[in-house]
Amino acid sequence: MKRIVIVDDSRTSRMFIRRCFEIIRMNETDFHEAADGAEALALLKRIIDVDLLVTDLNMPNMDGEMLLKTVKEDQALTGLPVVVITSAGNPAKEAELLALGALAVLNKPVSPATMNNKLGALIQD
Amino acid sequence: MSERVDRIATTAVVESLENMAFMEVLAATEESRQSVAEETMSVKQQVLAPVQGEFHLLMPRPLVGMIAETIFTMAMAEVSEQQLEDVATELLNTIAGKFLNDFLPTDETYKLGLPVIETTGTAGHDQQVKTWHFNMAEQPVTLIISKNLLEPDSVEDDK
Repeated sequence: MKRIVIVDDSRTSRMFIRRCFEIIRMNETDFHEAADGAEALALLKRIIDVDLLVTDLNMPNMDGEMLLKTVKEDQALTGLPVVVITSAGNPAKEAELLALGALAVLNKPVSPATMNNKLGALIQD
Repeated sequence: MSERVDRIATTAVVESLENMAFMEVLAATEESRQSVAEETMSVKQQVLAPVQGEFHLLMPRPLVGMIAETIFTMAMAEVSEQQLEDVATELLNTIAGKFLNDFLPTDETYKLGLPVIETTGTAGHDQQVKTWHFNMAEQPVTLIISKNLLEPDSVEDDK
């Protein structure tokens, strides 16, 4: 996996998620970051060959749910795997997000082990 | 219900802080509850649905700095005010989410506002709150939740 976009209004959270990816030996991956959904969409239009979009839910300007919907409705982006990493991911919300097309929903604080277990087949490709 | 709430609140704080900061979190002793940190950072996060209420997290600034050092792998002197505030708000965001995930019925979604730094120091002055005290690196950590969030009709008793 070569290129991942991490979207979260918290720099702390973006750092944490990136650190988890690096721990599971993805330190050769190219990481890009955005602070909200609108910024993420602008980034996705500029960068080619993004392999994975990781997004928080609760963000200003455009939240993660709207970002997910927008990506899945965009012909150019609909095939992009989207993983939601959120503090607000109970089973009901997880079901909603999966129905919208999310690949997986992980709860904060995420750990390298959880990331590897849930995303292993995808990220080690 | 009170024991259940205590267990869920304690788990939310301990697991969130330990997993993010890699430091042990303990229940506060009576003596440590009386200690007042010289400079306390206070974060507030509103719950917008299914009921309205608030979470507050109070931590000494030096403790937040220690956590920021760990997360950003930089010396405390290099940690900016913005990074400190970001660490504090993200800690409460994680704690609040974990609490609500465990407290509410699994088929009930909820909506949280964005966590914000409080500057007025009014957290906990409202009597309609429940408070939990912890120790982390020998410094006090306090979680405050609006009592209306903890009403019995929002609880799944056998969870």
